[in-house]
Amino acid sequence: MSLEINAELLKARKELDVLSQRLEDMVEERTSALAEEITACKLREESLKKAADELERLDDLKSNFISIAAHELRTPITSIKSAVDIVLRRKAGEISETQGKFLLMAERNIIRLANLVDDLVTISMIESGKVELYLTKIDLRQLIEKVLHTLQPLADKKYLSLNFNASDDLPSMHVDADKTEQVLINLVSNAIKFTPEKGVVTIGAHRTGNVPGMPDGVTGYVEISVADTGIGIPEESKEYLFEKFYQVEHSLLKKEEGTGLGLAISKGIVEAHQGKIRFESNKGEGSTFTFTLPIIDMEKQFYITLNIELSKAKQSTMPLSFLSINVSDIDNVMKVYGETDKEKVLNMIKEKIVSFGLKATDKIAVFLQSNEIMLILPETDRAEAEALLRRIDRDFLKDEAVIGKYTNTFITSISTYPEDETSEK
Amino acid sequence: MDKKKVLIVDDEPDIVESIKFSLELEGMECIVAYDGEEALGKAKSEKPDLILLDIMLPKMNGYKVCRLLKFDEVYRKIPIIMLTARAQETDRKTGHETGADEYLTKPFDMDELITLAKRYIGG
Repeated sequence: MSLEINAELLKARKELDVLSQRLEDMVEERTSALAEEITACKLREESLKKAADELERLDDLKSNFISIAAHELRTPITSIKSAVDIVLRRKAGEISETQGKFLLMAERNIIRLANLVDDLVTISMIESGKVELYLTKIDLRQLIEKVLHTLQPLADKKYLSLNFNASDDLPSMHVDADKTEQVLINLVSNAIKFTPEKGVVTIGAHRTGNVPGMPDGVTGYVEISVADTGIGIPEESKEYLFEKFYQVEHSLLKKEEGTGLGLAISKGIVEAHQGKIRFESNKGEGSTFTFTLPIIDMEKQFYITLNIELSKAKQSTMPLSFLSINVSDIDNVMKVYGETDKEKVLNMIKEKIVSFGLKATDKIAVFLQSNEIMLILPETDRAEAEALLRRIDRDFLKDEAVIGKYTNTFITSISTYPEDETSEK
Repeated sequence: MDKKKVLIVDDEPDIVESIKFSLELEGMECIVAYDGEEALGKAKSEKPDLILLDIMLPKMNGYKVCRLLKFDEVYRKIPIIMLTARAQETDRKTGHETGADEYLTKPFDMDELITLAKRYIGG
């Protein structure tokens, strides 16, 4: 009996051993398969990351290359233009009419080349998403008047009348003044170019009604239109009009006019401002180009940005710092700078702070009402924020050779996520 | 009549020569500098009536030269015309905010430069 039980037990134990061995083998097999998979995953991730880094590097290289190339081109262009100018304006002695004619040809093409270089730089920045808007408060009416003043001679040559209708309720706006001017110049000079003699070019600007679904921080839009009585846009061209290097062919135009980049650049600039551009045109009856620019509430916009950055920081568990620099004795600072415009002085200080090496992801804004300069510094912890503040403190004094004059002028405070989470404003 | 003195600063000798030639024709006296430090030194030792200042300069860039002069009680009054490139718009603003009196984009028109220069030194 007990022998029988023993035999049974032995058998069962053997079976158990076999089973357990099999299980162990299976576990080992799966483990090593998993390990292999993990390694493969890691390798894939690494190679993806490498590829992404490489792409980013190449993209930077491309942008840098274009801006360096542009600078390198501009220098000889300037030398050639100056030299041609001197001979052409008879400063180095008399020249014949024929010599003058050919030098004028050279000069015209130097200017064309310079414009092309500028446009290429702009379009490459737009395409790589690196358009930096430098928002300042402007009077749109003044900006448009300035553009019309610049282009009036072009219109006069063709006996065109240039009209401007602005509604009275145009608010002052925060836009990139240079870039907006560039859009206006592009559109108005196009209108002049495509309109036969004695035609009319009309620029209009007015506030649009409130649009549903406006982003937070945008309180409305201003619509600017440029209408002409020109040749109109042929049906087959409409689709390609905003593409770069696309040029409508017409006997009214000389081939050498324009770089074919104007509309692509204008679209890029308007869209960078979160605006829209469109056109309507009937062949033979003229065209109207219309673009919108948002009216931005800067303070609201800044707090929206702060909230976005804060939730990003919470998700990624990265630190975030918020710096406020209150220029308490602004009158004194204005005296030091010899400047009477408060906004200009605050912007000057802001520029300087930017030059202390802010990261591209950092956000900085000026609050006029409270004489404050506010900075949002993503991925920056308290120690780094304090270091930046020390740098601002020290370099201001050193750089400006006004030692002592800034004492007690700046009242600064730092809030950091996650440490000061409860003290969120 | 005292000749008005203009300091021309650019690291490109060809550009300096063209400007110098043109301004001397207008009866101005020209001194030149090819880098930022030389510019700062000559601005202080020669006390020119006007400075034409390029931005991209060896040793010290044009902004810094401009700032250092504009924040100095003694030299603040010397008018400075910055020579800049159009596509560098933010630079151009900084140029303004460092206290430059005027900027001229490259490639500039020589007549425009002369007109501007005359406006600042009353020639």
